[in-house]
Amino acid sequence: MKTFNLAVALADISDGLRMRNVWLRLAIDDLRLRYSRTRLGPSWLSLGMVIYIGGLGLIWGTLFNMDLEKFYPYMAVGLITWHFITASVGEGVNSFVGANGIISAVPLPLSVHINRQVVRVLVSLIHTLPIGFLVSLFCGIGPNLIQLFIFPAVLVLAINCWWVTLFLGIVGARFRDVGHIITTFMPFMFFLTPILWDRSMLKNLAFIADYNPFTHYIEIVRQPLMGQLPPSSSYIVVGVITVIGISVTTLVFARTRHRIVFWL
Amino acid sequence: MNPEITLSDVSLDFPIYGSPSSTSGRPGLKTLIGGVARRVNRHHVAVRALDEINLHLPGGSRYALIGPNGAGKSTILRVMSGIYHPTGGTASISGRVSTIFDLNAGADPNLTGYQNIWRVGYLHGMTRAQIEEKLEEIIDFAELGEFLDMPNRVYSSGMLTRLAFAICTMSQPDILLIDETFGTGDSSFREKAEKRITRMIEDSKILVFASHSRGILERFCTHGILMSRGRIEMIDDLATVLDCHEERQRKVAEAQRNAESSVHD
Repeated sequence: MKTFNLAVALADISDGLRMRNVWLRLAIDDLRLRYSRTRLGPSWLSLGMVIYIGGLGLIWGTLFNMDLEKFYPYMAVGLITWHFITASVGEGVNSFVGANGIISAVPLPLSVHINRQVVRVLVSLIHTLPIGFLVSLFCGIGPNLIQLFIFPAVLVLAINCWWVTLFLGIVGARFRDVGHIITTFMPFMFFLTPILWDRSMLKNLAFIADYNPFTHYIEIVRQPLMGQLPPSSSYIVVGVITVIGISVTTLVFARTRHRIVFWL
Repeated sequence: MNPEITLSDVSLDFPIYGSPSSTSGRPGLKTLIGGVARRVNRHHVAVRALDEINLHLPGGSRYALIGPNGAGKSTILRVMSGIYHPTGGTASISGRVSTIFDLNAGADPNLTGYQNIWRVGYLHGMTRAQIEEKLEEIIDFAELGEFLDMPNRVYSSGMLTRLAFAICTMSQPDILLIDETFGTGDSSFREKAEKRITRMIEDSKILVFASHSRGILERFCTHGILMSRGRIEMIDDLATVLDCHEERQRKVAEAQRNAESSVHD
């Protein structure tokens, strides 16, 4: 009985990537179903974000006497990135469980279901990120060349979304508490992440922001859109987490791939 | 490459999580008609669905899979397809596999018939060009007319079968695995369906067909595999295996009748 098979796991991942037809189709169908018979379609994603940002900025900004021209772009891009993070984590848990019907009837690489999920989350990022750009523009930032750093940042987000989805898909299929743990703790993490506040405002509690990995993921998106280079420490933290995340997830996948279908 | 299926000492234990018997010691284990259940640890029970199976199916094989409910027929088909991996022994499968396990697998009731053709076509590993090539044929076969542009949820069950059947049978596999799927559809459709599946079966190099219908198995298969409680009991000519199976079923039914009448006495 083989319980660890790295070659099979890697083959699954590369076959899965190659079957673009399948996961793109599944992701497109997911969107089609979610927005079928709506007038706005996926533009609801953008509209929802605009209203959220507008309202929150006004109330929060006034409440804390913020300089709205600085606060709006800071908060907008932070929220948009946070939205991407919660979607990756929250939907990742269901990536295998939700595909149960297909997995047990059609022989396919399991990673196909991961790629499908990543596309879905990326589509909503693509519908919201331009809002961040527009808000910055409105508040007198850019357009400038530093903003181009957003493209590698989105690539990094996509790669991280991939391993997080695979990791949580496996763990979430085996341990059904994980989904509930995540929905319980993510709103709490929101307050520990500098989105509605800046780390300098926390004074001697600023370490909360520094030790929170989410901070650095947000920084690599937010700073470029605000026309500044992110601190290199953020790139380092994100880089290290990405490498460790991919390695650990691949090992976990190699160990569990054969069992996942029985956990659904 | 010549397609073939080789199972050596294949065992498969299903872990069952969250069944009542895993939290209390109450019965439930003995009443299972399928494989043999055993407790693995405090948290879960495992059902032995396949027990040390050895099987070699070379190219050109046409096998019927026969056995009572819970014998392991669907499980062994899923091992042959690569969906399940044996927990013991090794399964080696070479050749392109197609499965007809659940006619509606992968289709979504809220997508239109047309959208579902593409979706399921891709799921079965077909390319864009292959689907395009087969599209007309599927549309002809399903005879759904303008219903193809309506969501599947408004279809009658007969219409659903037509469409699902047309989609499932559009690929050309080396190895074709079928889990009893015939049934609904009016008689004119059934005739067409049989014609279509006959062609698909003839084009495939290996067929394994699980069914309870003697008539269907006799049409398509030359040999039979008799399974019971996760083991292979017999591999032989189709007629021999079918006779043996029917004889057993008759004995079981008789024993049940006797048991019932003795209770009433």
